[in-house]
Amino acid sequence: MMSLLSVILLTVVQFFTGFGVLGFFRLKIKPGLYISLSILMGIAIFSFIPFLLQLVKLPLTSLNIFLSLLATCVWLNVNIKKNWQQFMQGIRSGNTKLRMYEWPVLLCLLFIVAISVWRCFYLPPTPRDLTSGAEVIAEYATREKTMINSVFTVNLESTNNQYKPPFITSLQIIYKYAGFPFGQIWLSSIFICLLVFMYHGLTRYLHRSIAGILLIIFVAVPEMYAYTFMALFDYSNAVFFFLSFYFLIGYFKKRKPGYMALAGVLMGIATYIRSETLILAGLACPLLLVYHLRQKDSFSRIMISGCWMIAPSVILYLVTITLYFNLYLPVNYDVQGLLNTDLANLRPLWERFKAMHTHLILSKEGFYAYIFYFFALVLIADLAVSFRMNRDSRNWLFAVLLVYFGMPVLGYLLPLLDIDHSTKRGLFRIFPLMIMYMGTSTVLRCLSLKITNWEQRSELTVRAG
Amino acid sequence: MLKKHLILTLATLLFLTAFFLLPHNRTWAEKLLGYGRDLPGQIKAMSKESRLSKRFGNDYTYSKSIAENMRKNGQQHALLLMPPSSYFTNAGMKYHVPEPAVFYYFTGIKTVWAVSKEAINAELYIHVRDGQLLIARGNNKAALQDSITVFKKLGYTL
Repeated sequence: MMSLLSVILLTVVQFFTGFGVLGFFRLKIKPGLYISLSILMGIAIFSFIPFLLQLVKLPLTSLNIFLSLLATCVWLNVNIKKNWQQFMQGIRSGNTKLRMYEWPVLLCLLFIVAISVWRCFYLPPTPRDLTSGAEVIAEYATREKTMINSVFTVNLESTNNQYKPPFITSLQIIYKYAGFPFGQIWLSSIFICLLVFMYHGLTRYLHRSIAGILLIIFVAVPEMYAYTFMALFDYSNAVFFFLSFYFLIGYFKKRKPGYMALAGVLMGIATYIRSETLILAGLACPLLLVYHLRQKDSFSRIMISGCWMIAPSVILYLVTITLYFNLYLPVNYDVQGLLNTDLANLRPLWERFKAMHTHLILSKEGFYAYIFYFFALVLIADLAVSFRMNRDSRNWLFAVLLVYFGMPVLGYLLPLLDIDHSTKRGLFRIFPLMIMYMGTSTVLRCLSLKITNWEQRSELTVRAG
Repeated sequence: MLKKHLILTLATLLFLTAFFLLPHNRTWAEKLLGYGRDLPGQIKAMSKESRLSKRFGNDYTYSKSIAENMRKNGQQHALLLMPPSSYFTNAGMKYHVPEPAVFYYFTGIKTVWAVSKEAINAELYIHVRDGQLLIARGNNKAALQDSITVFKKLGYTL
């Protein structure tokens, strides 16, 4: 009971923290998107607090942490009145009525989510990357009130997991103090909010029955689902990476600077979670450049957009990796030494690309079940129906291809990222993007339109009668 | 309208059925149902210790019992040399030795592997005799070096 109360309280504070942050970007999005995004943003902000306290060398006591969280929440909501009115207006005008045909998917999802939440709460973090890194550091941080604790006096020759950005360590500290011995339950909030966000994102374009089906296809990726109850960096990274693209593509449509800035901030958070995302952020820039060139925008505008896209990632990389590792951690970590120095030899790149297919995408174990096949099916149908595709699906397809080709590139640049772990989990980034591509595809939109017209025909006839 | 909603509901149900009949999805769904069946047993075992032992099995329970023995003897601050997992397999024990960071997470005891330069500084080391885990003192550096050589030969796995 106390655990439930703690989770509710934390989620409420996270919601208002994220709500305050989103207020700065002046977004006009559906309430379902806004609520889930606020919580996600709140979780991200929470993950900075213990880290920042560590940077200023304040003891990580429960009092210091919770007071800082509350103070941040209050500080970010100085303009809450205006934001709140706008938000409530959206809620009032929103259509939240559930249709009968949404129930099968909803019940199915409830079961899948409930299992995940329970396991996330009940079981301790399992992956070795966590138990020899963020989790053990967080556990001793709660006892010794600092992230730079006795763990660093242990023989750490068998692992480099202590050299990971402090996203998970910080969240684990907060949730352990909140009464969860294994922390981790923040991951359930991320999982649920992602589903809510994606569903509302998909229903912008699709009939609810098709949106629900796409969500089931997404949730039923066994490998990715497993990481909704085993805390690790990749799932959260995939979520914020996807959100960044969502708002980047939103910016292409609406041309509002808030969308661009938010896309950059979300990419920064993704980089904070997994530092190699910085390379993917760089690879995303051509899309931005093509967009501005097409719009015949000025050079300064292109530069401003480019800065928004890259600067948060670079800043967060410098703070969480360069500064923290070199000036705070007791042992230096040579990131340079991890880079492939033989870049002229492209054979490993091809080998990695090939292995990604044979070991992962087309593997007999079915790590990703059928999502690649559904995606390919929709893509082929889409190309057959309208070869040029619509602008949204073209953008989402670019995002999909960025990860598809970007993952082998990452493995080539950083050989430490192995195929069986790093690439396998790194591919999580592609799945929400694939679903959004399908969600915006011409063929599914046409089908949705037909279903909607057919569904509403009788209603219109009755009204006319 | 109701009739159309009913048709859409049936269509969704049909899709879901077909979807979960696909081989990989079926295996996954069976796994989920299995997780669901674990629930009543898990609710009965809510203590932190039982959850840890359930999840990590022997890796956790053996590590804990080693740590408890060390605490009983007031040796909790000593550096412990751990043999590789294959050493225990050869002795007929199922114990995958956690790496030092994980051992520390489980027990608060600092360990070292034979492949490390620090191994020679170990104050204690583990060995098995007659199926029993024994903790020996590392005062005799020659004996300790012999153990290090044997452990190194067996090789460590993560």
